[in-house]
Amino acid sequence: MFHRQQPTRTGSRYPAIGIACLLVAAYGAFTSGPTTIRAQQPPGPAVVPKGAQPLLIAVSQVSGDVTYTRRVNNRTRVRTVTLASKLQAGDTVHMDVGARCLLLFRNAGKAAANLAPAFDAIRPIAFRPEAPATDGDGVVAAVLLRGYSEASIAMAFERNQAATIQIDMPQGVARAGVVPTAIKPRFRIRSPRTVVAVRGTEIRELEISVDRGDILSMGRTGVVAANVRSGLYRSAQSEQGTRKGTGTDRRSSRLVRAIMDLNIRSRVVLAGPHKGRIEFDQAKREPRDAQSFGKGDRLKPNGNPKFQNFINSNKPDDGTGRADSTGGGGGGGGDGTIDGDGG
Amino acid sequence: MTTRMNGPLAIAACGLLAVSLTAGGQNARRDQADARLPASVTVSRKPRAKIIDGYRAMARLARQHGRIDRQLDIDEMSFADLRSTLVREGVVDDGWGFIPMAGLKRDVLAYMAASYLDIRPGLLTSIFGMTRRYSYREMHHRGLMVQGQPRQVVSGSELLSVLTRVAAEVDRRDPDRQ
Repeated sequence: MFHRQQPTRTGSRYPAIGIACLLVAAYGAFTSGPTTIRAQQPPGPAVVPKGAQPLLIAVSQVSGDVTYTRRVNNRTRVRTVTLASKLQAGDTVHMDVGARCLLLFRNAGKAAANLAPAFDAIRPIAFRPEAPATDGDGVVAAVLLRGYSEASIAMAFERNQAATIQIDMPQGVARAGVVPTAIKPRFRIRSPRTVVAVRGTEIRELEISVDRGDILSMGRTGVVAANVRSGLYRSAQSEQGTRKGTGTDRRSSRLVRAIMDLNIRSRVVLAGPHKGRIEFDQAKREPRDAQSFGKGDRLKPNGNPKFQNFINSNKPDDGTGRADSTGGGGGGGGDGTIDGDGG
Repeated sequence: MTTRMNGPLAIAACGLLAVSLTAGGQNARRDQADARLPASVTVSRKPRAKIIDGYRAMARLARQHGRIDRQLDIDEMSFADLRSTLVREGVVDDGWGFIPMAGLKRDVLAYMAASYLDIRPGLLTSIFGMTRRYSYREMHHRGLMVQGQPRQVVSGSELLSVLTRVAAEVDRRDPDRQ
């Protein structure tokens, strides 16, 4: 008998469907990804833990081109940062080269009592029977961003009188100050290489860049801990600095590299007003005038000739900071010296 | 191709069309959102900075510091206008013939930064002018740039980092600006 041989079917019954689905999937994968801004955003708004209150983030100073992005209903909103901007956790601040932005993290309860803060204005003097508040109008921390910076505010809340602030910075320059409280606040700045946790009060400058790595300089007070995820840390005292380079670390620990690159800054010793006025800054390799005072420093008495001229003049203040010297002895400051030529 | 395959192919074509339309809408939103960010954000994402990126960033910094007219729209200027503006400021050498899309090398960036800061170390340099090679060595000595090959093309992030240090140096020289 002759039997008709049926061809065996080895592939799919509808090969075109599979090919079309692959085409659609490949095209969708290449074209329908997240936008460039959205890819840098956190997956969602920062979640405030139970029992915690979010901190108010106010913009105290801003200059240059500064914007921030915020995720609202799965859409990325871009806004220009002004003095009236109210940031919140989850926002990302983008700054142009040459821009400056000062962010104040304030306690929500304390901030509500003072709705019109005027940090740059001179407040009227009022008699208070009690001692003035030392919490600085509820300001918990301040961060000054400078130059090209990208800073994402990951966490900003207060719980049990302890503030928790975390800023993620892939690149940029920041100065930070944290108000010390009885319950230690948690203030962290994370970079792709290190985590800087402020335990004291002041960071003079933290530069995060892709070419020089992370360079940390401490201020006059405080202590800072540069740590990694393992929990180990390296403390830097005042007037010290720590650098973490961008090179590959063969010791399998970024912390060790940071310790090896410990760089102690040269301290600038300022002499008194009766000593030499020209001093040499070892860190910047240039002489500096130790007795120079800015335009706003005319009320600083020690060694300031402008203060002597101002306090001994009989002319009213015209607001320009200039006052004619009329000579005369005495005067404030306690040193009793008057330098007529401004030196 | 049999007739029974026409149906699935039509479904696939419709799906492809829908996805492309959706992606087009996302591209439009992406362009719209990116346009509102500072121009330096776009530069920072580039693995290789171009000459025109360096010129625009330097001109933007000069406008921020008030060295050129604040009313100039840097982002809309042509390359020739941008170059002539920087040549007038002394930031760019008049003899340079770079094309806009060429890679921005470290020595070129160092020359622009040193000229912007008016850094002229040494007797010969102060007399005959700065060269790109010694500009890079001087900028490395001052800690404004990292050690490396002078002819290496910088990334967008490195370009912005160097310009940020230049801005900090200008602020340090003139504290009243802060």
